[in-house]
Amino acid sequence: MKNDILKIENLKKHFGGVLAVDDCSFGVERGTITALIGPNGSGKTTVFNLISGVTKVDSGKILLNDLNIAHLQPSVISNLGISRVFQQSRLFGNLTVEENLMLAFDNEDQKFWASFLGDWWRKPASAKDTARQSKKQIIDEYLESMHITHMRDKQTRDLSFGQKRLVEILRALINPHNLLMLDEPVAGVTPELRDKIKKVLLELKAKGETILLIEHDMNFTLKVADWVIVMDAGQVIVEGIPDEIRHNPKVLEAYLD
Amino acid sequence: MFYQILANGLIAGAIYALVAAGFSLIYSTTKFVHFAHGGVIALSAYMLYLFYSLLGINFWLSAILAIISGVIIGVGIDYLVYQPLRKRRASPVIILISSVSVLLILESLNLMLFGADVKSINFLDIGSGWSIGPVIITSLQIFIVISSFVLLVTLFLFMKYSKIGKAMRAVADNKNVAEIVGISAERIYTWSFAIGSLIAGFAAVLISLEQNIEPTMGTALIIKGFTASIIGGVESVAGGVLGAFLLGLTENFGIWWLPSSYKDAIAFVILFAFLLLRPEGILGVKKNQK
Repeated sequence: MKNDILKIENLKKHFGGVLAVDDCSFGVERGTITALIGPNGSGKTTVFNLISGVTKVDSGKILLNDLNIAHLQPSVISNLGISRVFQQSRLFGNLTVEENLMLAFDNEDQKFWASFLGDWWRKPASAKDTARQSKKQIIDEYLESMHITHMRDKQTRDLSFGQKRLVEILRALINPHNLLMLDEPVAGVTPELRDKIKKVLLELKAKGETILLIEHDMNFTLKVADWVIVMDAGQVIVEGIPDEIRHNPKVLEAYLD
Repeated sequence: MFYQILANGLIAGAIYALVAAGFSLIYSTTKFVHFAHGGVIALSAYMLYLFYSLLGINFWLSAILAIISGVIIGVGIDYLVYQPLRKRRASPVIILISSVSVLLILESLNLMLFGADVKSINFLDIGSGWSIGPVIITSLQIFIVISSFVLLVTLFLFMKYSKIGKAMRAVADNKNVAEIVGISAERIYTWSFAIGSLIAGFAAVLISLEQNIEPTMGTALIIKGFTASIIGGVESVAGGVLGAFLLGLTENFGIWWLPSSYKDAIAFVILFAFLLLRPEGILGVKKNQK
């Protein structure tokens, strides 16, 4: 029996007269890289938007660790453990790289009254300083791992496309999560950067991370994924291990249509 | 004469800056025009009058109570009016109309509770002036400029370094992405109204010391705050402050040649000029450059 961290059951979404996601069901197994592939317009990004709460669900269930998150706010879903990277980089352009990453840490002390009154009554100042120092240290380690430490104090609007991509992936990694969702992480990046991202993903899998991935680069997808789900016209048409998917006639038909 | 007008312009700018800073702060995160911000300032001014002049409470305590009232009124408006509208996914036009309605309701409330005649807070003596070179400036005006400066610097430091300030900048930049990293936009809206209205309460105290309090003062103030924000860049708090000083200076230098009754007309001419020629304001970024 599969040990699924995320289960999608009979998910549906209309945009006006267009049925973007039609009775879609699949599961994401814990500790694996699952790839969601399909031709343009097949509903992959809409499924991502529905899971992360950016788009409201019409009907169906999204179970994260058996909890239905289908109608929750995106911030609540994020705090329940889903971290996401968008198809096009969406960083806070008016904040520095470090500030972008710092915001991704837990948000427990952003509760209105706790923020208003401070948390001096809960934690001693030294504990807060230590926590802040360790957050800074974690950020430094992540920046170092991607060789972008020198960009720490740059505003993200001044970064190149590839650099923004890396920072966005780091932000998703730092955001406390059980499931990491990446929407086309290597689209438009250089071959060197693609290799770097591939290495990072495989290292994360080795550490036991669960990753759900959308990617058009089939070579990349079939090399990193453990399980591949193929969508067409808002439905899952087939799923299996990469080798099976590579030779499946239904997949070929969907891409050629 | 030049230096005196310069000083007058900076003093007017310091007051407009407080109005514009609160207004821009709320706009930057919520992305709608909170015209009722002027009403919050006016009602806070009346609260000062109530606590200090009518109830005879110590001035500083009255000032603190008036500022707290401002926060409660501002957050209350968001909670009772804007939040239900946001939940119903009301269009920005509907929220804009509701903000004008709330402004009118607050003005009527001032009229109903305190009457139509003007009120004044006689705490600091306006008459006695200091001569700094060719410029004569009253101790009250010095107090206003210093207080405004201290508050604006504090606001800048809060936005730059505090976690909530950074979260507010994140929501201002992209609400959806902020939600994705776990920041509740609704909570940040409450914070924006609380801090924006705290600045409004502070502005109310300073304005009541310098000017008379009247029921419709909120409309006059929000027109200046709105104009200043448009000049500086409506999504930028720093832009709003810059716009406020430019507006204060332009108005005062304008009435060097024109009758003083043209002061408001000068503000409107600048507002139209910016809306036509540079709608993103001085520090604003064009949408396609974001």
